[in-house]
Amino acid sequence: MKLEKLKTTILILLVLVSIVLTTRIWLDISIEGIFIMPKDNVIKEEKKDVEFDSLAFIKPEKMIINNNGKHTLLFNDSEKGALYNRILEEGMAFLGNLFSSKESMSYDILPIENLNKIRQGSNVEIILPFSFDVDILASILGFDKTDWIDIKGVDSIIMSFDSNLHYILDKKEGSLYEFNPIDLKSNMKFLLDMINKFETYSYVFLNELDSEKFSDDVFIPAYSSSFKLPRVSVTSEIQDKDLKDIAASFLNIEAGSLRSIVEPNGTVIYSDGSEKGMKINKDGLIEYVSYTSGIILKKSILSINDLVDIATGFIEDHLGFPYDTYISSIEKTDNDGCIIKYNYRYEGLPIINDNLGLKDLVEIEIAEGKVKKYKRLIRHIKETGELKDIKNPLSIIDILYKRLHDKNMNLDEIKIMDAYLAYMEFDTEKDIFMLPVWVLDVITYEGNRGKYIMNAETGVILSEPY
Amino acid sequence: MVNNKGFVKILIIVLVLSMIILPLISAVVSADDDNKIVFNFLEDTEDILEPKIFYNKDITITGRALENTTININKYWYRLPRKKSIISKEKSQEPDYDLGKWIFSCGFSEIVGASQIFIVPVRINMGKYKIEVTAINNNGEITKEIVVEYNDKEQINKEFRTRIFGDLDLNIE
Repeated sequence: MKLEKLKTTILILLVLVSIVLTTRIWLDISIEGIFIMPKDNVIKEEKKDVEFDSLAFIKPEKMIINNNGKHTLLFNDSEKGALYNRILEEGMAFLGNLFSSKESMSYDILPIENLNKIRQGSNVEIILPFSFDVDILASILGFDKTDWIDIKGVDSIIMSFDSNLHYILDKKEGSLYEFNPIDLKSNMKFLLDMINKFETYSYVFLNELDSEKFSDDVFIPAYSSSFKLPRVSVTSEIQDKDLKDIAASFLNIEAGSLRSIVEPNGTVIYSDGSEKGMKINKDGLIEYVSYTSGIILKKSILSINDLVDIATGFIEDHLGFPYDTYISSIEKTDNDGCIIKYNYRYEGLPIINDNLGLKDLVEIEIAEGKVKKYKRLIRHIKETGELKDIKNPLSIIDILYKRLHDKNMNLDEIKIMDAYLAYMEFDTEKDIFMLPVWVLDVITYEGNRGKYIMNAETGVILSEPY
Repeated sequence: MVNNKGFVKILIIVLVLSMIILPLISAVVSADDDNKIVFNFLEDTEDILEPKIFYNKDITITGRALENTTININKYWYRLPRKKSIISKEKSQEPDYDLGKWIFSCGFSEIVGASQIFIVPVRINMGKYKIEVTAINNNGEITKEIVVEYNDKEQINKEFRTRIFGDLDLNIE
């Protein structure tokens, strides 16, 4: 009799378990109106309001594919750009999922030393151009606030290809956050299969060979054959444009009402006669300034996302963004505003301009809800069809060491912090052109940091900090 | 015909064993986590390195040597002995590595610069390969070598799954 009762109890328990599990399955494969209520329209409207335009400008400094020991860099180029952007979308989806709730996401905090071990697995590492303040990142992703106050900065996001493990690297705190978001359905495995269909170069972290001379950001390709990059020709964005029309659009007045002065070096200064002015350099550098005071807003009204949106809207209306623009830094200012800097890339390689000393090619300052300053130097880039042979990065490092040796500098007191390819602009009397260059970011024992820029084809040093 | 209780028992045993055995086998047939082989000619290390198995076809030969050292890298692949007769085939299905030959596949040469680092990418396929690295400078000549093998991770997992579950019939009626 007792046995029968026990059997009945077990049977009831099993039935209950099956009901719970079946409900879970139904909720996972939800059909509105059967197991769950139709979604509230208010929520739908809120989702519509989330502005993702600013999100398009969050792009990595480097996207490293770690594939069972083989490391490679993925660029936003014409060949693999679609894959690059799909991976980026997955990364942003993870961050969105993370910021939307803290309670439902379990996590572990690992020491930063685990990074090398994680890099030996199968995953993608999205290294951001700067350490994003977690509030700023959440705001750009459309969240008013986030409960993730432990994470101070997001330096990189790591997403596994063969599991649901995700990581956030916070260099400020020296922590690596490990998440296993079970609700997040990702296509990472499929994306890895797609990447494997391309011929990719193996990269080596040089700090694994000599950690005294190289930082953990020095990541160079191992070329088996000669590597080539296209030679490009460029034109200034103001070429063949009427400067008066540009100024009128910026100052928001009729072209006939503009006041202008031409300086001896060819720079034209325009003014609306009261609050706004701008300078157009003959090299194409545009600088705008506004002295109008905006409506005094309460401190809490404008979020960083709002400020980024104001900047995005203004730039879109005033000459627009070049292809593959990304935010290279966001600095909060004292007057509840911020300075947002943008850069852009060509075929995945950053564009640098050494002539005018402009580090970031688009810079905008917002204060009191208005654009106060705006500066840009943009080129229209065209391939010439000619390919340039690119020197092996180890040869470039040798050239640097020779140069430093010639300057009587002790090589043991020099550390290379980063090494990457870029396009660098040169202006001549007649033309503007861009060369592929190697950039070596170097720091001395005394803490002097600077960039050596070398012609990637010849190895000639084009710019040196000391 | 196996009764229901017997079938359930067998199913549980198979599932439990597979959960224990699969990770164990995977651990035994482990490959190297990294895809690079480091030859350090700045320090006194073994001339014959421990054999390595890779899950990746693209491996990187790297290492350190004094400036102006010439590094010669030779890759050899292992040719299995030709099967002579049907009888010998029946004797063993396993390759006998003692009877085969190392065949020169390709070579690379580099001169080490001031960084004292060399990096050369090499591609391997299924089977055994030998990588021989010789460093030549004013101090003399040192040769180091390693035997490497490429294993397809997906193929291994597929093979185990087939072997363990291949004969399992879950045709519950």
